[in-house]
Amino acid sequence: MRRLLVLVVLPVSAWLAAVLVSLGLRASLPDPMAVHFDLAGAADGYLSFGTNLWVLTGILTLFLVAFAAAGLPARRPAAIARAAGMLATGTAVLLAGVQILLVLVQRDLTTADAARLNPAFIGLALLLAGGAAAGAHRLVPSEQAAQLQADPDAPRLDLPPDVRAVWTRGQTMSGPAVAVPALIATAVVIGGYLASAWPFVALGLLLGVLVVGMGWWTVTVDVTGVRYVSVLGWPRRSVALREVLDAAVVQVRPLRDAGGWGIRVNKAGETGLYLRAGQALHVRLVDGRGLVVTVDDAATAAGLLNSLRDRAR
Amino acid sequence: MLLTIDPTSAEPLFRQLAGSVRAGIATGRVLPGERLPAAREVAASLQVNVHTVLHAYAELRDEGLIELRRGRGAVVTNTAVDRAVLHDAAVALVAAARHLGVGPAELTELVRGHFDRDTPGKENRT
Repeated sequence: MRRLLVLVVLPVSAWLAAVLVSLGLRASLPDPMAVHFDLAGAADGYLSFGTNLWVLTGILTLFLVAFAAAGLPARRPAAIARAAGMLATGTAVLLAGVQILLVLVQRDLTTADAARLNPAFIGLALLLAGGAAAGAHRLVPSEQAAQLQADPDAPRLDLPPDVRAVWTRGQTMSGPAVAVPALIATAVVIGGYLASAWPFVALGLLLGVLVVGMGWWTVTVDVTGVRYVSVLGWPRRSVALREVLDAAVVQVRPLRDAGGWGIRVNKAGETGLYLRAGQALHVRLVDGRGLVVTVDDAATAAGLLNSLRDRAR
Repeated sequence: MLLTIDPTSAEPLFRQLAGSVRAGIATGRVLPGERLPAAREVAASLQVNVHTVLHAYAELRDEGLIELRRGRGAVVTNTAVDRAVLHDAAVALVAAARHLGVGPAELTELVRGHFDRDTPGKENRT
């Protein structure tokens, strides 16, 4: 099964490869060996060969168990399994890469403090891990499209054949949810200004921009599909009409369902815009993904989207 | 808000669009203070000329239903609901008059008569 592959087989194989390489070169390594380097590349942390391997193996095992718990169960949506698989494979490849690097740079050294590790090599290991994660992403298939049927009882608008329609609505984030980051941003700007710490002023202003960007949105449903766009023009997300399976109204609570406000992912792996508690438009996509947008008059939006989708089929 | 047009109808598109907004206001689905979407975007969504949308917005502004504010775009006025109801009544009145063959001059007299008759303190006119 693909999930087992990306969550267990690939990560464990990557780590085993690193362990074997390490064991093979053990005799040529200094004892203790260097396990940490400063930014200049000089060694500044040491452990015995065995302790280092056990610690890393232990850490990786903990991570893999957590990721497997998240992504292995069959009932978990593909999106969650995919994310867990990417993390598992990426983490394992990164650790394996780092371990192999450690061993290679200290080969044939008599003392570990002579070891040098160019930080660029860590970047290389990160790239490799990223590539592995991307590969893992492709390995987990989406839900079977054939299993997904549009809900025949989904709300529909009475839309005569030639009539064109557009539904659009502005929606703002709930006051408290905006107020907290806004206050923090203001505090950072003021504090930075008073302390003449200009990087903080810049940071505070940037935070302020982000707060504005996350606070005011426009949601639109028309013949091109459904989209939500920030007042700043970005972030934005759009789903083409042909990708829509069906739409419905749901009730959501940002903290409970998605862990907070703003652009979030819920337990079903669906990305959405959670601005306030209450009614939301829930769109199911043909490939199994989903979209959630908290917005007023969601019933009209859902009805229009379903009717437009019917017309397009 | 929901905006609909029917390209196959005889009624001009801009008037249909204005009517769509008016209906939203009259039914309370569009509230005072709410901003109408940018004409450009409405035009793209409904696949009509942007000038059609601008014409519709201009008509709504002339009726006092929306205000065109710098930077904010088209905003529904506070008096919009009442004016929308009034406009709908006027449309019905004109339709009834046409049906009966009553012309604008006669209709105007009829309306004025009711204003005078139903205003306290004014002499009665039959």
